[in-house]
Amino acid sequence: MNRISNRVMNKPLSTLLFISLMLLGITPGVALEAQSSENQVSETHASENRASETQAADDLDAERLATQLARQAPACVSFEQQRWIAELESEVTSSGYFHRLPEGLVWQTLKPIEDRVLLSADNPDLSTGMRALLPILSGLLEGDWSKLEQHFDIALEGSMDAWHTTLKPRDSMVAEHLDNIALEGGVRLDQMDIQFTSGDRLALVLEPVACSSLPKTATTQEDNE
Amino acid sequence: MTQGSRSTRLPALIWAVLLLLCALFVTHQVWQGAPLDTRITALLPESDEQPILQRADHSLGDTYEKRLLILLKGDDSAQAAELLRQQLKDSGSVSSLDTETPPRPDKVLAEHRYRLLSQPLQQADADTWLKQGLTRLFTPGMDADIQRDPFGLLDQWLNERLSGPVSWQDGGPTIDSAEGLWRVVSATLDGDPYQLQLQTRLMETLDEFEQAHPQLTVLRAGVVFHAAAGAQQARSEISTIGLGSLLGILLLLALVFRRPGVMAALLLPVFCGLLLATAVSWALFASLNLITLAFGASLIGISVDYALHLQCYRQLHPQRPLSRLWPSLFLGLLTSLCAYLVQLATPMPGLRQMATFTALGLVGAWLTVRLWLPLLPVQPHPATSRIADGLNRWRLTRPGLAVVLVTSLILSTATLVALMKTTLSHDLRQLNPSPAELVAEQQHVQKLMQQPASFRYLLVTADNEEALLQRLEAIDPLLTSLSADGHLSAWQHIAQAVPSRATQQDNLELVRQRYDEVLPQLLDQVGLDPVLAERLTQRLDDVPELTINEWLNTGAGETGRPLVLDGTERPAALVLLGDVDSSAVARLEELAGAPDILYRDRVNALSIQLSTLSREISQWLLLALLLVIAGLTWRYRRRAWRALLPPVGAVALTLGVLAATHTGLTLFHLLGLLLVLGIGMDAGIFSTEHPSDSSTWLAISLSCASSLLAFGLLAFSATPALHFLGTTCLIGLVATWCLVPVARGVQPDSGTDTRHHARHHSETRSHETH
Repeated sequence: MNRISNRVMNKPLSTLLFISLMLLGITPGVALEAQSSENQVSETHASENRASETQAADDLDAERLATQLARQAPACVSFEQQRWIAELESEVTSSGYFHRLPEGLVWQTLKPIEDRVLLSADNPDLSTGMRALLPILSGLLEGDWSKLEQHFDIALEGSMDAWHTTLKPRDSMVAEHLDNIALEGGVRLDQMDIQFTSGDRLALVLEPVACSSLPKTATTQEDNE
Repeated sequence: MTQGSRSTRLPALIWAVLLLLCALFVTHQVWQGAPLDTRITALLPESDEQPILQRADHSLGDTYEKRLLILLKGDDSAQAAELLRQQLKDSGSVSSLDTETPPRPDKVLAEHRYRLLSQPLQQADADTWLKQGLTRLFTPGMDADIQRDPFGLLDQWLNERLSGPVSWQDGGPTIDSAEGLWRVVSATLDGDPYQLQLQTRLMETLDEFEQAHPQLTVLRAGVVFHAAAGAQQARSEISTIGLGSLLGILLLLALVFRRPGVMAALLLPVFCGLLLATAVSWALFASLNLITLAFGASLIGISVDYALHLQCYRQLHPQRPLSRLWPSLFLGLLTSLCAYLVQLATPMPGLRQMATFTALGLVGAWLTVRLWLPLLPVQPHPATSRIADGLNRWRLTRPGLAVVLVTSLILSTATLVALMKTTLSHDLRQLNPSPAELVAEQQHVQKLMQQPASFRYLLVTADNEEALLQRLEAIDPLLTSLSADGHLSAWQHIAQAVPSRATQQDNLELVRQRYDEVLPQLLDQVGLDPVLAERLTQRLDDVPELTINEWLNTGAGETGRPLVLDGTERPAALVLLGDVDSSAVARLEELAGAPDILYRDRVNALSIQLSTLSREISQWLLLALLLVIAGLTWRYRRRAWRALLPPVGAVALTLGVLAATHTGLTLFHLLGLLLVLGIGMDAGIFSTEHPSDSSTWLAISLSCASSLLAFGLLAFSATPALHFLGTTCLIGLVATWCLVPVARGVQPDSGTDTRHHARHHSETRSHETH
């Protein structure tokens, strides 16, 4: 083994993004597949996920939820992000939107500054952690739920209209950085809270928006070109 | 006959005791599982280059020879990989598994991070630093760590310097490639890859594992797999070629002699020769090369010659004293020994081993013939003399003009073609005995792992560690530009992971400067109190330096150990190089013009050594030829051509045929020629010494036929070296046998020669009328 990548240490990040993206149903492949062959997908997933099914409340089915989230996947989602930095006892807030584009996924921050990150294998500026995410993204395109269960113990509560889950990392490497992830939503994922072992916290409030209503920034101009 | 006098019994008894000791030693060695070597390179010369290069070669060899890599792909590969690790551990074939815990360069380097700056960060301006700091904070999920590393120095360092194709998933290392997800199982062997017991344990474990998991695709890489394949092939060839040769010879002898006792007496010397050769060679050379065994064992087929000549003589002339035969028998041994002992002068350890093995085998067989066989009673079977008489008619008593013309025409054409079209081939890959699919697997794994091959490198020396690191840093821009222009595929040296103290200091200065310039602005933009900048900057106060030793002693850095040479007079480091093109080689050689840098391409160096060696051997061959011509001319005067035609004509014909079929001569073709020369000389000498004796012609025919059986089979060997040798011998020996009748055509009644021959001739006549 010549070099072991430091992807290792970015595992929490990639997993997190994976989950957030999955729950946002942000990838077109999943949405299309879900719409065209909903029953088939549900059946496949049901057989793969008996464990989570039993954990789920009677009226709340993890597979149906996943399919529902995927079907509702909007092209653009606005976010409010709050990052609590424990050691500095300070909070950093930002807001912006996600935009799904053929060349990849754009994370656009609008406030307090404009900043844009393109999540794509072709982006040379992408950090190692981001890059590590890409293979997982492709897993997501195939609607691979088993991956989520492989990495987390999932507790799902509530109803299809109002549910929340807590994900606890199984992998000790992930658990080293990440304590848990809490998700809340109804027909869509509305909120995500990440608790780090360092005491830091990250909260995201999400809301779908029409892409046409988004402000034209210098960076979005680039996207559309 | 000299049956049983005290003076002959005592040496025979001593010889018996000696052979018994040999048998005990060989049994002991086999019991112990002493190593058999299968490397083709073991046959190649010790380098006469600088000792430090040899040291580097050895160090690389030691490191990589014991490594093995197994890649798995398919369903449930994670559990299967875990199971395989356990099975490998249980089998006792590996001393350690490399990756039981993930290496954590992030932890090792955390405190050093302000002294480690990636190239882009070194060159980036303050604005770029600011933007990177902001992006890190605003991109979700990222463990921003603003207090320790607001600009992501460590992330970028790891990304630039230490990222590879291997990542950690499901508790083990994996490679996520376009073909799918490969699980990596890597280990260090518990001993020498050439140890047969170790190979057997490992291969059994792996075979069982593969049978139990048919759904998995398995790729193997490592010297041990090539060694095992080579050993397997050589073992099966020794049994097929050895057995084929033995059966063929047995059939032939059974047909001619028809007495089990005689046949046993013929095989006894071969067996004794093999026993002596194996025992003494094994004692002299700590390990035996399997090629030596295969080659030498077949070569000992010559040793049956002595027994053949003796037995044919005794069967056909039971009344004549054996003393008549000893001179030619001794001359036969001497010429053969000369041909093989010449190889002792070559610088190739493997060749020396082969020469020793063969010479010992010949001596052992000869001694058995000389000391034991005369003690055995003779009971000729009438069929033997019938066959001898029948064969004896096949001689050209007075070669007609047509025969002479045709023979001359063929020989001169062959010589002409050989002179005009003979080419030498020194491609080392041609001699690689590994099966093609194993080589392909190895290349596949190397490609997936993105490892530079370990045979091409720069060796850099300096007065001290700091100077060494600085020197490595100084040549890095050249390598970078070669790589950017597509001349160099990859390179690796220790300064990539551990910068020199000077560079680490420069980096720290730059980080301080950027913290001062950018940090307040960053904090302000994200809405934090700029006063915090002072607190964050305090972390730059006591940053420890990263040293080579510290890095190599960590789990993350230990794989870099082969890049630094231990125990040299001056500190020395290697720059491993991937694929290069000719313009890169030119630049690298230019670079190696400096006194402190050496460029080394082991494959190329070996090829050059091979070609030098081939040239040397052709010179030896020529010298041997001249010596034989001179010696035989001196002994036989005008009849010398009769003794010379079989060996020299056969060599010329063989060279002609090889040249006409566009076969580039390798080292092993040349060794085959040496063999043809040796057997041809035996035939020439015996047929000239005893020109009218039907027993000689019978013995020569049997000898050629038995050697043909042995070497004809070698031509079908899958080991390229043996194949080349076999083909050469096949052509050469057929030529030898065909040329003897042309050469031996002295009329029994020609009456030209000495008294000795006159007497000889009258005896032959009396026998023939008998």
